[in-house]
Amino acid sequence: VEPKLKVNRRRFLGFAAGTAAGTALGVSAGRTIGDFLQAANAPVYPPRGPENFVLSVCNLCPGGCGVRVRRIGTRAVKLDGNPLHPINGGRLCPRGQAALQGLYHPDRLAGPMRRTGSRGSISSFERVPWDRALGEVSARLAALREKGRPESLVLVRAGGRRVGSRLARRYLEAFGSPNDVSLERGEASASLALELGQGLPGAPVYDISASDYILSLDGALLEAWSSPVHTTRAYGQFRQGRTGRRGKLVQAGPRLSITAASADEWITVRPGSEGILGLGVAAAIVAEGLYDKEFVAERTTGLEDSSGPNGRTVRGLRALLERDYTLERVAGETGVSANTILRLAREFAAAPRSVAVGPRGGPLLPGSLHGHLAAQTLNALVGNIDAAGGVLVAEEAPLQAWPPLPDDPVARRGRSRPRLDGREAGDSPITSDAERLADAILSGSPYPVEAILVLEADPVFASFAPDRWAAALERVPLVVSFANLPDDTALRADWILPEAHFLEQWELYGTPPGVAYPTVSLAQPAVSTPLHDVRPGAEIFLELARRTGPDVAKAFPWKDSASLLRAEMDSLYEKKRGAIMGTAFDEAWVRMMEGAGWWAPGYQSADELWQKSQQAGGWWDPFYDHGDWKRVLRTPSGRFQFRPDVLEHGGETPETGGSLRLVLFEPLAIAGGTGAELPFLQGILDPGDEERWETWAEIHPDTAAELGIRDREPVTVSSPKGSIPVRARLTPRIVPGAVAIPVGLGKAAGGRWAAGVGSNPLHLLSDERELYSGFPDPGATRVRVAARGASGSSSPTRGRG
Amino acid sequence: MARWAMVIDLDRCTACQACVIACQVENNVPPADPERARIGRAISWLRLVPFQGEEHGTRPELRLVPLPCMHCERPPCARVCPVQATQRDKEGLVAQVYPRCIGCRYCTTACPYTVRQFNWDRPQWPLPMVEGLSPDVSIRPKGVVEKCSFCHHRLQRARDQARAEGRPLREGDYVPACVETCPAEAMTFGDLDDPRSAVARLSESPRAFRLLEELGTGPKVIYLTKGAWGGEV
Repeated sequence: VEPKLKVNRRRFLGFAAGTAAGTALGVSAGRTIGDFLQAANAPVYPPRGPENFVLSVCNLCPGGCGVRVRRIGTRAVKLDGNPLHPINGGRLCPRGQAALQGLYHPDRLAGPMRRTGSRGSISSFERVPWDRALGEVSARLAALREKGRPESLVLVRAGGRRVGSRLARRYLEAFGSPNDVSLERGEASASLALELGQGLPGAPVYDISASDYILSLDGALLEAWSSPVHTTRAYGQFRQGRTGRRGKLVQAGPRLSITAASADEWITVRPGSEGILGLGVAAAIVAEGLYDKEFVAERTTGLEDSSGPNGRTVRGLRALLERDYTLERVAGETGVSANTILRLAREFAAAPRSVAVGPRGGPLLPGSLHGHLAAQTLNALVGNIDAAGGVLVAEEAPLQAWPPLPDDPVARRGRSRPRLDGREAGDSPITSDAERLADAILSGSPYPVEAILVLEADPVFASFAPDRWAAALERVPLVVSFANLPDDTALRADWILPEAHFLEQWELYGTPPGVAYPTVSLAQPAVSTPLHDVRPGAEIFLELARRTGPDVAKAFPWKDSASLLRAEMDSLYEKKRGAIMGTAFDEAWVRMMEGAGWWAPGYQSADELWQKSQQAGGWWDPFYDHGDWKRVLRTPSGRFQFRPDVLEHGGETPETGGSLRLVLFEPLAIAGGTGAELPFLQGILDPGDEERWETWAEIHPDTAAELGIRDREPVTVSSPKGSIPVRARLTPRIVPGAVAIPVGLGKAAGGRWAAGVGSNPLHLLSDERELYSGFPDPGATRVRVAARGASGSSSPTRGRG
Repeated sequence: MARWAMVIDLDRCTACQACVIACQVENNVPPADPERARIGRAISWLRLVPFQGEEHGTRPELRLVPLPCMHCERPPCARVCPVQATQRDKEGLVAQVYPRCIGCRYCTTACPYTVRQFNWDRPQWPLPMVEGLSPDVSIRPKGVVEKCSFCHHRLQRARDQARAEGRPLREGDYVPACVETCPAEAMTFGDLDDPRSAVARLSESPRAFRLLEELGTGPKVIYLTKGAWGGEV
């Protein structure tokens, strides 16, 4: 027990006068800081012990940044980027910087919990030991298989690039259910556009570090992009990293977003019309003959009319553009002048390397397929498919495929049942449909759901049907959450089996979206023992499988998660390619060697690969083979396909009731529906208007004047689906006739800093879906805004110092 | 003797605010809450300041500028401090000695950049968040003024390291937390008096400017403007 030290002002001054610098104290001055901590009345003493560093991977978004954790003794005290990691090169975004607040969050669960009272409150839960929790959950699940109904188990999850979530998916498959539903939808529209044009799965990678000109069709490129730090580093290169070659960024969109603020030019367009603008630019490029004729002739199909199988003429892109995307019509629909459209077309076609970026708004807002296809059309017209500075296609990390599932008739029958979200079994999981799943649970058709596993997802908060999800969970007899900090879904679960925080476990991460080359990152625990009674995700699913029964357990031939991680890395050694992560020099060296057909890995054995991966952060293969058409053009014709047939369905969706367009955006700090839990991130929601700790609604001053709404007034935004209280913010940052609201606040759970702070605009969304893709279309929602009465006079005082 | 300075390239900066959070974690800034934020008492040594305007009178424009302490050559805060709690040290860092500070807040008023912040409350960390505190930086008690130190403790650490390795301090040994994390690589830090250093070179750029230079403060945070497209920059 440390001696209790009484500190009064005299003593406080007295000890401090003895320190040399006063501004900062050295590592050895532990006792003195203890005095400070006591002065601050903190009941804990500072960390003691030697300084050391551990390499891990940030899991606060799908971006996959390597982190280097600074530890003093047994405590983690700072996260910075791993300088050798190729994705972030030693840099971190604000989310990564704040990650320790999640590790040390005061409201983390102490261990497994069982619900004993009504749903929706953490006080309804009681602590249970792991053995009992795993025993009871696995027994309930095993009973489903015995009844011959394994398909009634559903997994709702995030991206699934790490071993823990891959094991969860394998558990579902071995169990016998086709219902693997991902809530990480950020890449859904972009991936579908890639598949339509190039015939292969995966998300497009915009090679902006080598571009000269970026035309962003309302893409949140500099906000919560696929891999934010990777993209931001590339943007730095694009701007000032190449002597005498500064790239130009043009942002088209209805809101002066952070991306638009950084852009050289912000082109205001009506909400939802960015795809029309893109095709208007494409039409001008085609009409003026500015497209890359060689590339279009050799590598694309579908520009000109052709004759179909039954002798009928199949209309080409040119005909569609000439008919539907005339300058007058595009100018009328988007609000952009014909002159500007023509200028954009000429600039885009004339720049040595230009790239058009689709309307991805963040991890929850994939943007319209129409907009993404318009971007892909532009990129193909100027011949920047798979070219440096254009659009690349990521290659999966060459990890060994896991052994095939053992033959189990129960599981096979279960997997052959239709998916509850209406998607085909062969569809990319990225296009799964969480909203339709909620409807299926509510209707009990085609079959009822008996159990749900929720891993790294919060459909009650972050789906486009939060209210329906809350109702749907009432219908499910067994809901199991793996959250370590209770989220809105976990509060409605029957069991919470808390997974260790990502800084508390070993893990292996595959290539994140938005990165062109394969990476495998190894994460090591940053604290010697977890702070609470939690378990690594991989261990949880291995143990669940073991206890569910021998038929399921057979699908998991690994002794434990450690041997599984090791086997994965060993399989990389056998591939005889790539290298240990390293410096920029190492990267150039490996690239040069591989380009010349050599393999210079820097390791001689699987053991050495394993050791060096721990020291450097992992393995990667920096070599990108541009123009490998067999890999990147996998359509039946082997060419890029323009898709006038799909573009025909699009642009505009039917309008619903109300008067104003709803424009949603995801600030990086709270993107993907996570981040509000950490107080540092609540403090930086939007730098433009210094908004923090509450949800605001941006309204153009002209629109507000018509509605009689004053700045900073509390208002209610309502749609036919629901209404939310927000604070009005009058600003010309949003076009007239629209309301812009950030997504990410308004949780019922998430700890003391998230619960009850702000409002969730996802409650407003209509059920509209985009034509062709069938994806939910948040842009179709129309809302009304009304003042909330006399309380509107309160305006926050602002002062400093 | 080094003269430490920072260059922030606004053409690279994307306003992601990684610097803001890196600073708060590094320097043991306590987490705020909605109430403190509402009345402007949340502490942040480095924040992004918006400059909103109308470009060509029609289109709104938004410029976001990271604003740390400028570590002025002639710091107005030091001139008004009655107890010498803040002063420019021999390497150009404007230090803040918390135990000397009497909380008069003359300096917060004198600072034209408004980067000085007063502790209105006792800092508080709920358990176990206190375990993540850095041992390198002291906790500021209620009643004193604090501000960006250019992560002065990192200089001490770098110097110790260099001494242990028997070599002089090299460029890149000492960088503040904000500079280390900046994803766009927009921030550069180093010795302005070393003509070979990156900051010295960048400070000569035609894009370089300093905030409120006309006040004669001699700020050592140098900004680079956004470069024009196609122009030689």
